[in-house]
Amino acid sequence: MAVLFRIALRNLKEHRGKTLIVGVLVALGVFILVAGNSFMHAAAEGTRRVFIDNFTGHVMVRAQSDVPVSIAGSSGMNLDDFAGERVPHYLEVFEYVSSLPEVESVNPQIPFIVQVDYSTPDRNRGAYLPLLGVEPESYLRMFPDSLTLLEGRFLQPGEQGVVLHQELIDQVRDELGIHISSGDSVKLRGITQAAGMRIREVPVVGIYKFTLEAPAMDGIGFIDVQTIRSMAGMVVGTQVQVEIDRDDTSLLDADPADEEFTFTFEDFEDEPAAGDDYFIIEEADFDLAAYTQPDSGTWSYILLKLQDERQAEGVIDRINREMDRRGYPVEAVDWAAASSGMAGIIQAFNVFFLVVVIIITIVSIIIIMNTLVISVIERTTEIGTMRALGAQKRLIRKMFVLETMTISCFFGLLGIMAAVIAVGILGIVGLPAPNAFFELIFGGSVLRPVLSWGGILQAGAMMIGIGFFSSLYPVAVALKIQPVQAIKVE
Amino acid sequence: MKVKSVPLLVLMLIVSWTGLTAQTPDRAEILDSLDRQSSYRDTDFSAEYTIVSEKPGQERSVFQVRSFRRDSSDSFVMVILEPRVRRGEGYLQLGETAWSYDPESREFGVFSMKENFQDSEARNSDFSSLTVSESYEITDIQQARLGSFDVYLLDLKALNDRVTFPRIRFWVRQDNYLVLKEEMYSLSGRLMRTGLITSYARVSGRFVPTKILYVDNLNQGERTEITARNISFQDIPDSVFTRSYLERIGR
Repeated sequence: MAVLFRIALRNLKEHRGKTLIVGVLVALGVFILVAGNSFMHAAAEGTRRVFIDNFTGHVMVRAQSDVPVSIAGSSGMNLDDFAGERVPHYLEVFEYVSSLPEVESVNPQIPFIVQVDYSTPDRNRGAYLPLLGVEPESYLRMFPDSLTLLEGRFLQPGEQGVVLHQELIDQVRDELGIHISSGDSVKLRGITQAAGMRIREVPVVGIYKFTLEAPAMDGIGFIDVQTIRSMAGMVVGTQVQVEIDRDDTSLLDADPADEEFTFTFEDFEDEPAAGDDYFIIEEADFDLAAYTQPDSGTWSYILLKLQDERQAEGVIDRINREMDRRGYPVEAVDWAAASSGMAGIIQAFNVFFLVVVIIITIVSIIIIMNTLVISVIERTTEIGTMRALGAQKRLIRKMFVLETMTISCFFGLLGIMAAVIAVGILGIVGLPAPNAFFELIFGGSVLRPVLSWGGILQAGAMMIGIGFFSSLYPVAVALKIQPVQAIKVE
Repeated sequence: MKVKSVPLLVLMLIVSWTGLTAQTPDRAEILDSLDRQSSYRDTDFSAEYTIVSEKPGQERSVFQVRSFRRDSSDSFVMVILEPRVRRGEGYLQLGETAWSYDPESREFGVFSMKENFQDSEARNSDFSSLTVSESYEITDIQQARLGSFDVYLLDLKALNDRVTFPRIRFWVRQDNYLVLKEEMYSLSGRLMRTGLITSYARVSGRFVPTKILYVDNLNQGERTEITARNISFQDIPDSVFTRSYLERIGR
């Protein structure tokens, strides 16, 4: 073995230029793999932490839907239904999830999007404002440190108002020249299919920024749930609130089928001529609170924070089994699904990264293979002589595998060392995000990568893979060389 | 045998031909009847509707509305009466233009008659008029049965894109052409909604549907029942068909 290793080193030295090119390629691939994995791991962990601690909790409970809702609203293309499908059997679902021993806190929410409206009769002006309708108490219980108030205060239970993010204040000031302070009122304009256009003037209770930077969620406002339900057309009458005849639900109760089709026909006299009072309708009753109790069922989802995040998978499974058992079209999902594709973006980058690594690996294998084939042809006499002296095919194979393994392992280790040093330095210094897009990917404005042991293991596998696969073809060529060829070639 | 069988065959053909012609309905007559059912061009019309909708896992939602129509000028007003918190919200259509009105902000918004009424299975256009003969053509007529009724099954295709549904199937009674069932299809032929009209009233000699069940064929379990009451063909003041009427009653 030692002799073979010496022969391999001698051959590599003889073809110094080719060895260096191949080696640099391997080192580069390994460096990208280790450093990239460390970066991706740090970014994913940063994003996960920011979202769980500030926005999603560990588990989201929502209605099953083709266009499921997340903290960024319904995933459908229709902005009209931004708030998504409501949680069915809300009260029962709320009671069940609240009773789970692993659940530390519970917070229902409604996402919506409006325009902060400064339109004039001849000009449409405003800024888009994503909103979360929340119960102030349970929100602050679940995310106690997520906000830093810059002005005013957070919403109080039962209070009508909105808490705006500093970014929106800055945007409105820069684009429209209007300065909003806490205590001012803003006109919010929302449109839904159910309710048409709704405009509500609400007081600005406070102005805040997120304690942890969360570029993906910057600009979001918090609003009282009564106002958001009213704007989103979620305030509907129920049979408790609106008195109706039993006859008004006769078809819904009976569920008539074609074969049982029944038909009634009545002759009526025309109603008497309508008096003036027929065209007058009593004043509306705007006591919204009476229609928007927490148990009214109009929430888009419920967030759960657990005592220990390792319980998340078990809790999700338990809730889903219970909802199935009850026949409720409700599902529990993890923070990634609740975050509206943030985890998906990270995953997409991981896939992209993996593709790059695979391409580098394949290219390395092809180049090493090609180099070795040339080397085999150049060494036909040598190999033929070895065979003539009694060298077995196995020995020839080992010789070439050792050569490729030596290249990939030596330069691979150099790549790992370079990556460890680079990650270590950037872990201390920090890598600033060049723009908002990278802030989103980094989960903050600075990324501090941490060495990924998984990345090092993958690099090890990559090194061995390159070493082995790139030797296959050259070995096959070398093994075809017969002893007689040693004397044929000059 | 052959000599006898030829006149018999001719006789049978004649009998079956006369039978066919007797049973083939007059398309123009049916369209005219459908027009008379869905559009009252020579009179005003008002009614109150109770709209109860159900979706799986949710409480039934209830709305009561008052509707005013002047089909001769394509004018339509609808005002929400219940729930009380939504009272005074209204819709106004004048010809091709339609607005919604929010009494709390006292603002008008753009509004489409093709949209669903308050997230129910009813479309806003269900409460307004429709001149079937101007908007659709009958592409096929077949005889069928619906429950215990002999009906004609009509396939209709839209003549313009202003209508809510590009294709409709009607099941109409053979004796009086009243629509008992309807299926609404998308342009691609997908069944969107089924309507069962189980009750009619005859008021001032005109037929008015008083009980309709709409079933959403895209979202299983979503259904809406509409009940009409206080039907009237009395004159309605011109002032009702204005934006200021909605503003006035919303106060």
